[in-house]
Amino acid sequence: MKFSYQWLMSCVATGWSLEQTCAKLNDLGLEVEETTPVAGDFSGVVVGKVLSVEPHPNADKLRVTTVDVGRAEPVQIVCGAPNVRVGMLAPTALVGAVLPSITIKDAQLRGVASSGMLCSAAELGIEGQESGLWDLPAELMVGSDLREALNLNDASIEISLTPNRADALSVLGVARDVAALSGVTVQVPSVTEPQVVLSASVDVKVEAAAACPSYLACRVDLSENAQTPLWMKERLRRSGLRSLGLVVDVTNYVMLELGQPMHAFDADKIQGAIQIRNAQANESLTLLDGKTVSLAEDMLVIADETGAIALAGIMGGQSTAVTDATRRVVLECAHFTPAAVVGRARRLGLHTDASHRFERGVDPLLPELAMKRALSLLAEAGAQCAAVVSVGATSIAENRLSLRRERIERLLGMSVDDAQVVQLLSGLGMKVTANATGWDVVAPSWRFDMAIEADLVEELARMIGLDNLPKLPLPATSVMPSGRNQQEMRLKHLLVGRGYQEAITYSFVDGKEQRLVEPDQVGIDLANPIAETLGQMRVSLWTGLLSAARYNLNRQAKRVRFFETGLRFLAQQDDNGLPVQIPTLAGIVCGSAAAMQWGQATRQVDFYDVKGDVEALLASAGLLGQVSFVPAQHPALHPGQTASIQLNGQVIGLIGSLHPSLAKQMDIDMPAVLFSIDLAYLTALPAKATFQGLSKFPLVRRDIAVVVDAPVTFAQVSSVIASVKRDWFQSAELFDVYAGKGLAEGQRSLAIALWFQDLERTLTDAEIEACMNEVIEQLSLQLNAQLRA
Amino acid sequence: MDMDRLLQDALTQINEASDLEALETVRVHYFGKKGVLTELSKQLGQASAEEKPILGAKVSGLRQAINEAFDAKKKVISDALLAAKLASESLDVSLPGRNVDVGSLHPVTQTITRINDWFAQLGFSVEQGPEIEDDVHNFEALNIPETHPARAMHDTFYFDSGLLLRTHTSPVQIRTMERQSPPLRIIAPGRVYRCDSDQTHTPMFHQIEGLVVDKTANFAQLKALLESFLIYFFDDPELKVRFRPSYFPFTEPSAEVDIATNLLGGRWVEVLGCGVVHPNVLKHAGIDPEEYTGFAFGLGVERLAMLRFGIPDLRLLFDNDVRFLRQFQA
Repeated sequence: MKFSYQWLMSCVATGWSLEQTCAKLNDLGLEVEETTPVAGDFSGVVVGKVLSVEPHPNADKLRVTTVDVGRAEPVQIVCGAPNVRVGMLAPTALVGAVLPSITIKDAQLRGVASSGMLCSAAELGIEGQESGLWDLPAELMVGSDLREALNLNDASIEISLTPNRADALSVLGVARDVAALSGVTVQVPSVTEPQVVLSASVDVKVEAAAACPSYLACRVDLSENAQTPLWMKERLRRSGLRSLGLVVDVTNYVMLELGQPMHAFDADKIQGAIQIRNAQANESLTLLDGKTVSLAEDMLVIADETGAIALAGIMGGQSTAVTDATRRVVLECAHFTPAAVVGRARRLGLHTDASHRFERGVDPLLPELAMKRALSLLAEAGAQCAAVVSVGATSIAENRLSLRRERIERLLGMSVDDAQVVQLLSGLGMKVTANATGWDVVAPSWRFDMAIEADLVEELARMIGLDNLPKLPLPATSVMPSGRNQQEMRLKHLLVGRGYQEAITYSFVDGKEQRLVEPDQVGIDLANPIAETLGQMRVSLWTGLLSAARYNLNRQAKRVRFFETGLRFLAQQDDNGLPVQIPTLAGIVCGSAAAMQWGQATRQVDFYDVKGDVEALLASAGLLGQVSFVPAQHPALHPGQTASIQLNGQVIGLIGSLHPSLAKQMDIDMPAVLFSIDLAYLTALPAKATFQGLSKFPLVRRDIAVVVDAPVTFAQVSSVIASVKRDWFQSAELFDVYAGKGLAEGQRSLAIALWFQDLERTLTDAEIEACMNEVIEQLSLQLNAQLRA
Repeated sequence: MDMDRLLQDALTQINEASDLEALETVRVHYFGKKGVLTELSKQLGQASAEEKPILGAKVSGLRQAINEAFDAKKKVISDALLAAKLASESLDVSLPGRNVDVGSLHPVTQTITRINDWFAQLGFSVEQGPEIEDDVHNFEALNIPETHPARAMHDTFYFDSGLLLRTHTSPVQIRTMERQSPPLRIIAPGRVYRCDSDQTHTPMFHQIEGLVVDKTANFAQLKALLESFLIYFFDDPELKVRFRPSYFPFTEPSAEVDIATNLLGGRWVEVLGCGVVHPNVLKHAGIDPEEYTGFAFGLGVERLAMLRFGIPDLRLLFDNDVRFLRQFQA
């Protein structure tokens, strides 16, 4: 909400400077967003009265004027504004005046002397007034300083209000809070009982009494040429509202001043009685802004015999709108409950000052005061009114709460003196009565946000000032945090140590692109995506990682190594009725295998480079020995370079080279390898390690090279070797793979080192020989593997 | 035989030997089977009984002197050889080493970790929850009913099923309270989503939720905790912290916290929201608000990361540009 500093000060005269006021508003929870001066930085401008206007001898568009500026002699000023006329008051910049864009000097304009400048509002840094010379009201004193005369040493204060502080959506509301904090009495605007001149009445039928507990209407006739007074225009302008004619200005003014939204209908355009009812099915309404909306049955409308003429508490209709020609109006001042208004404007794509207030709540006792205030203001401008028609309640049930002394200390960590509690709450307009454990409190009608005891405690905290509340240390605890998160960080650090950058990509991706990467999976679509390219929840992390890689390759990166952790989202439901959401660690590596280095040749990344990273992850999680890599298929991956990662037969992840066709579609023109592992397996705390003993006896190595046919895998060879059981058989390590000359097509030679060592004794050649023979025999028997000559 | 002369000759020859081979020739000449000193020792046998000990001592002395000279010379030659070998092996140590391949953690992760670590020391457990949430956990249980105006501030992403993407990490509070009994100390970092995208908003960002439920939890503890946390986080003992009344449907009283530091030119910057847990939230989770009180806080990770690292534009955090990410290696 925006209002002027001077306006606030006129309601609560604290004597605070603008800066002090802003600081206090912040302390009150009425957060100041910004302050702006209400006029440009200028000086030397006075109220001038145009005494004569003569044609310029040498220029058609210029006039020569004499202007009374409150001095003994009038000054001669050459002026170009078309609206200059004898007798008008206009801002007059004297010689020496400094305006936002120029400094005024004696000048000759096309051969005629000019000693000053008649100004428009815009030239003084004041937006929102008519163009041309600023036609000032006649009551200003000629010769007075304009800044003083118009009170321009003022600022607009814009505050951002939380939804609970609907009471502060008016200058009076803000003033009440300031008054409570400062102890200065708030000046409620004076209203005089309007004089009833007209006999015309308004027929009002409230059908939806629950949604509209109180409806006031009044017929008002305007005088010819009724004008909004400058002071009101200025207050509206400084509050961010344009002047739109007397009636609308008055309703807006009352809304800003008191917080009561009002509406004015053109009385001649209303047919029959005014009804307040719910919209009917298929009913539509053309609003003030020209937009036609179709109404729903839960929308409250104001209607006449012809149908809906306004959306209650949101916006008026075009058919009964007040225009410049309107002379007879019906003023509406009603209370609509938040439940009757909330959500409706949003559904229709609307947000108005009225809906903003009614959705959050308006003081239910305000309509009577607001109507009187509006009628007084109109009467001052020459309008005549009829008797106010009031339908519904003029009182409400008291909002009673209780506050326990003990609870204040319990929530705030400090006790507050009884006298202070009473003083602070009373200052906020509450009626406070002591009882055995604390107080009975009746909140004022405008503080309908007071619902529970804690609300009252918050009010005390606000008035004491949050910064004045104590600070107490958190007591020690014996609760031990879980270590799962540390395990995840270990994995991340491991990948960082292996040259990976951590990426964070959006959890929603382009559904079209995801269908290329994961054609076999069903992604969940967002109902209201921010863009089609962010429209579908990811079923794997690869779509996002591929797109992140592409982003960098397009920016001349030669090598990308990314990992990411996060959820992937499947269409299946879990036990809670939510989609299955699986914490995942995934990565992509593309381009050269290693960073450029002078001592080693550059080569492109391959499957085994990334498999090494994955194996390191598995080793760090204590899983390497239990995991197998099994040939697998995935639409995004090369059919011959893909493996599922299996833990005891359970697939926990996937690794493979990017399929060349997908690479082309995704615009990735370098070899790429992808992996993905379910994070839960990696972050389960690894089993505790146990010391295995250290042998003092010699370690023996025997090498074999076996030739196997194409379909035989290293895993098979390795498993046959492992099946030869000896307590002292330590390990078998592959150290060479050969194919080519000397071997048949498809054959490979695997060179393997076998290590033997006993904890208790030196091994004999004979037993090692026997073991080796068994290995060779089993390899030959089971896999038809031959020793390489 | 003039032994002094012999000694002089030997020392001269040893000194003149320029390499180990020449030195060996000299050694054989004196100590070999037919060497000069070997011969001299043989002659000792022919000496008279009186002369023998005197002569023997002289030969022994001679032998020792030559030996010492020989060893010394051998060391000189070996040292020179080693020095020459080492000299030939010297490297340009300024050439880059191999496999200097260190990546980096995302600044958001670094920020979360920095926060997690601090709270972990105070006994806070790190909790996680689903990101596709139901209305109950994201709104209802947090005292935000269907008609609440606060829903408008959330710009929620919905699915056709009626489920939604969580708009804050607060649902983790609810899920934790449903699962565990007080006392509780948790923080819940994670991704959250709002249907909003411009220079200062991305549709996905990160929050960290904190919750303490205990028999004595109060606003004064919340103040002390957050103030010391912020001083730690910004590593600035001069940091000014300001608490401003605010509003969240799930806390009462509620506050927003601003900081001012010279790092930011002394202006106030909002960094987090907090408050005493609303009794309705405790009740919904089956916790008696008369017996227990709680406080909660939520902070925007990106905001803190941007302030700490001096990152000017939020969107940089989600471009995944390696040139950007690499800047956060340390």
